[in-house]
Amino acid sequence: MSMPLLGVLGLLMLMVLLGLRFPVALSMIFVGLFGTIAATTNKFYLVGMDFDKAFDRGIRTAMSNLSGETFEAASNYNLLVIPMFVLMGNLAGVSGMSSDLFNAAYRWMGHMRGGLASATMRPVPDSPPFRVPRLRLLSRWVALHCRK
Amino acid sequence: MVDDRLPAWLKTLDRVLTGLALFGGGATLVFMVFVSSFNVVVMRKVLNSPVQGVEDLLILSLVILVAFAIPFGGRAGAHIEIEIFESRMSAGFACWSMVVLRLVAGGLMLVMAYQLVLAGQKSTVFGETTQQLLISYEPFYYLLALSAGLYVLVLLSDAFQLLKYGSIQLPGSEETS
Repeated sequence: MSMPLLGVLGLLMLMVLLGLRFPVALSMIFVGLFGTIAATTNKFYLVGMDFDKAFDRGIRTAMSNLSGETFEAASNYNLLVIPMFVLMGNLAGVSGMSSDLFNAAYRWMGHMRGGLASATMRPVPDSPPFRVPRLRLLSRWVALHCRK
Repeated sequence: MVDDRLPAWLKTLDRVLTGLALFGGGATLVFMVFVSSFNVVVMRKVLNSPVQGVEDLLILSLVILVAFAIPFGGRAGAHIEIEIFESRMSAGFACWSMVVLRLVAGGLMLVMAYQLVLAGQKSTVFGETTQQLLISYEPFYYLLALSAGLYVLVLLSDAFQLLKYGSIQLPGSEETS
């Protein structure tokens, strides 16, 4: 089996699993694990190794990657700031800063066409570290506000 | 509030996961914030003498945080699922496919936990340590293995709830999925 075909089959498998509501992380682990087994087996089989030995190599490579990549992902230095961003965003929400910013923006832009959407987006650039979590908090606050 | 219809073992599991995430994860996060702020603001900028090895501590703290977050995130419904085809599925298929996939996922995570334990046992032999303080990765592999093991319990409890009640009751809310 050629590698591009294996890649396409892996992507199709991923789509099927996602469509069946398999959690995204687990779908990727699942496809990655079986894809590694298939690709490694295929590679060693094509260079003349017995199928059993090639399959054994494939399993060992995939199992080694399963633990190694998990630790690698959990200890990624570049992702270190994300928990701190989320904490800051939550502090901004709990302290009422998000609501105050939204209220201010709503008073400036609420009367205009599309004012609610603009007021929701406006406070976000004020404080870049809070962008993602605050946007989530703000959208939740707006939803509550509109329901009232 | 945890639903009254849930069995005692599931309520206990919820309490354990919430406690670990809240106190363990919270303490780790506070440690990360204070250590990184102190090192950068005071030691590096004011005293021009950054503490050696702080990056190692932060990276290992991140591993601890991730380990606490995985099972709690699974139980709290924080793991992302795509539900675009749910409306087109029959109720029976939707329920049974979820049960089967939860069991498959449980098997996958069990294999992962076992492999993490094996990797932990080999890590000292292969000299897997942090770069500056040379802290061994071994206990952190075991912690991740424990986390994967707890996530297996969460997935099995999800399958149990789906079979018994037809839905998954999330902890701390009346919400079901």
